[in-house]
Amino acid sequence: MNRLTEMFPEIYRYGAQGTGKVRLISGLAASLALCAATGYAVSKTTGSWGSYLAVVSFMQFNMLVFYGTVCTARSVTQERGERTWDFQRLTPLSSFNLAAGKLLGAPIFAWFLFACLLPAALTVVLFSPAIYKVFLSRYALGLSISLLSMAIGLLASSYDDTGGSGMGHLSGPLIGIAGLSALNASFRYSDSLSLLLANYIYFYGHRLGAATSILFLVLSFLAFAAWAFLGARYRIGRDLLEKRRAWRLPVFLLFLAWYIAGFEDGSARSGVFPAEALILPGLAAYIASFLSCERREYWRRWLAGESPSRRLDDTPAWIKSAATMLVISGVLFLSYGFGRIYLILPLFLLRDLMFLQWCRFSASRRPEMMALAYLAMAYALPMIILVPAKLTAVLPALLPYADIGISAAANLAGPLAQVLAIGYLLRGKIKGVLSDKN
Amino acid sequence: MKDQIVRTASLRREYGDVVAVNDINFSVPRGAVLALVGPNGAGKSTLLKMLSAVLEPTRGTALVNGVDINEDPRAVHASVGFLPDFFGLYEELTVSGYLEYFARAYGVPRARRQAVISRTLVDVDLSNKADARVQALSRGMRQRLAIGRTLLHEPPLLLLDEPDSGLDPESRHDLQKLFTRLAGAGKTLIVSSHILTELEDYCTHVAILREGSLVAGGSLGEVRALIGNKRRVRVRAAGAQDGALAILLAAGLGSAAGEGGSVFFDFSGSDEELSGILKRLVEGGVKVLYFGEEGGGIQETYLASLGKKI
Repeated sequence: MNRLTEMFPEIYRYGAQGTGKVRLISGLAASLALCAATGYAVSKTTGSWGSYLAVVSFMQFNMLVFYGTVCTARSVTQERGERTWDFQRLTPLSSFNLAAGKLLGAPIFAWFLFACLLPAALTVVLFSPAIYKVFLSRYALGLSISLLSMAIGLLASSYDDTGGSGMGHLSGPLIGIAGLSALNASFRYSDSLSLLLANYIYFYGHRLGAATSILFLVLSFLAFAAWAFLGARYRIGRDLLEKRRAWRLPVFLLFLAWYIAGFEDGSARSGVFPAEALILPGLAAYIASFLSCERREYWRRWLAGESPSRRLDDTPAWIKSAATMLVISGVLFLSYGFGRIYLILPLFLLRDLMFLQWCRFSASRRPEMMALAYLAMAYALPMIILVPAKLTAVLPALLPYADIGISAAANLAGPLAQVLAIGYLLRGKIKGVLSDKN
Repeated sequence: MKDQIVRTASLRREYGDVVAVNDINFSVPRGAVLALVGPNGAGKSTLLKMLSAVLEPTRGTALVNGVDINEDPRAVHASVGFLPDFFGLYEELTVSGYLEYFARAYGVPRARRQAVISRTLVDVDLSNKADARVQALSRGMRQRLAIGRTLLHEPPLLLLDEPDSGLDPESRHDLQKLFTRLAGAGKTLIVSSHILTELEDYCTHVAILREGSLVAGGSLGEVRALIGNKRRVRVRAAGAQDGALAILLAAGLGSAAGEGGSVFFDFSGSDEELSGILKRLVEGGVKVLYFGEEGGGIQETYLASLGKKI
């Protein structure tokens, strides 16, 4: 513990703030009481060690996932709200150190309660060694989901710019609830693998066995936890004025596409369009672009930058996103075919992201909200107006779908024209930024 | 160049259409205590944030302790101790726990940490509060604790944004003593404040900001000369003041006049010329009991600057 607190001063601080003697003793007493009460209840009902382990691990991980996530989700939010953030930014602590310190340190009391319940679970394995597999799978899944949920909480907190918004405080319980749902679903899935008609995971055509399915899920949760952590680290690094790295967002989008395509691979090879492998990275690209907040000021500095490597690293998120989505489309097309839709979706994405940037160059105080409102209308109005008016022939130009009744060129003409039009308008704005003397 | 701890080059910061800091060029010599003065909204806080590399400039740059704030902001953080105008402390920690956390964060080695914390507690006069919780401290003590945090890593430059705002006279006096001690220890201080009279005792330089622009900057004498502000000098001689008055009038100081047992005159020359006047009085047989400036400090200089066009 000492070594950890030396390495991550944040853990020392959270420990000093949140683990007073009274708190520790009452936490320990409550945990012991819960274990004893559960033991009594189980002995009077099923009387099985398996049931006892199921109840103890359920309590342990539900508490850790929910309470831990609430703690990490308010970590940066609280610093900003209470104006202690600037002091942290001035220390030599890196974004990695701050993010890891908050991820591990903020839920320190949740970890303590988790540790208080652990001996009860270990006792079960001691008295009933046959259920060690259940123990291992539950704890591996539980820990990986806890880390994922807490890392997403930290990510949400790091993007809460003001620290005073309700979003910062609300995101913790919301993510916590989503984490609980994932936790309990994966516990149920893990239990179902012992049944005769178990639903095994297929990934790129490979059927995973019971143990490998659990391992796959654990690694998946850990991988997404690592991405969420890197996202939080990146956002904290922006506050520390650390240099950006160009690879992070494109690699995440490629990873996401590869991961989703793994599940769709079988059906895609038998002729079903792997929509989610394109749509989910596209959604992530939207979210990253909207959260990046790269406005006029950022562009002026980016365009005036002299070092080519620095300029590459500082490339605005929407450009990196759109370029990566084109690559993903190309790879999916080469792997599975299906033609025009691979161009239609990225063209609409490009149109939307260019419009977003155009809004950021406008005088709007909330350009992201402005862009969202107009984009929502751009997708909703054609359906509302053109369908009742029986002008459906125009729809392929305005909505992203492949109309097999028309040629590919006709299907692509609409989105391409919109991209060119918004590109032209955006070019004018960029010229304005470059010639801006103020 | 090395003796300038801060040197800005067309430093500029905009917030949307508002220019908070407008192409400022100034420098601060190592060891100076600079008073950064100006009305609310003049750009003082923005300037200090840029110098401490927590806020990126829109254009221009600054070298802080030889490091470019745009190129390596993290290295700048190591050279500065910054106290923002509004800040929070970790209320649930004890005073020594608070300093312990930041000492760890600043990478103070374990073996030296306790000594550094004890020394800092002495520096900011909080040794008797080491075990008290931060939430139990008075406002003045909180301010001193926050300043203590800026000293932990022994930075050569301290940037203090209105450290005395909201403090009672006694706390302000304590703070003033602390700044004098720090200046004596060779630290360079840039202090923004509205309470100008209290800056006079320890400030060697002044920079006057208005509407984001630098009206004047340099040593107090230089700034006064630039603004054209005259010093008001009082002379008190033993016995009647007539002799002193006659000598001063003969020296061409037409503004000299007797007033309540002293003679006052306005003077716009250099310090050497002023000492020449004293010499003439003494050589003229005047038994000088007191010879010194009345006012003419930062407050008067700042008020005089208000009439100067940007």
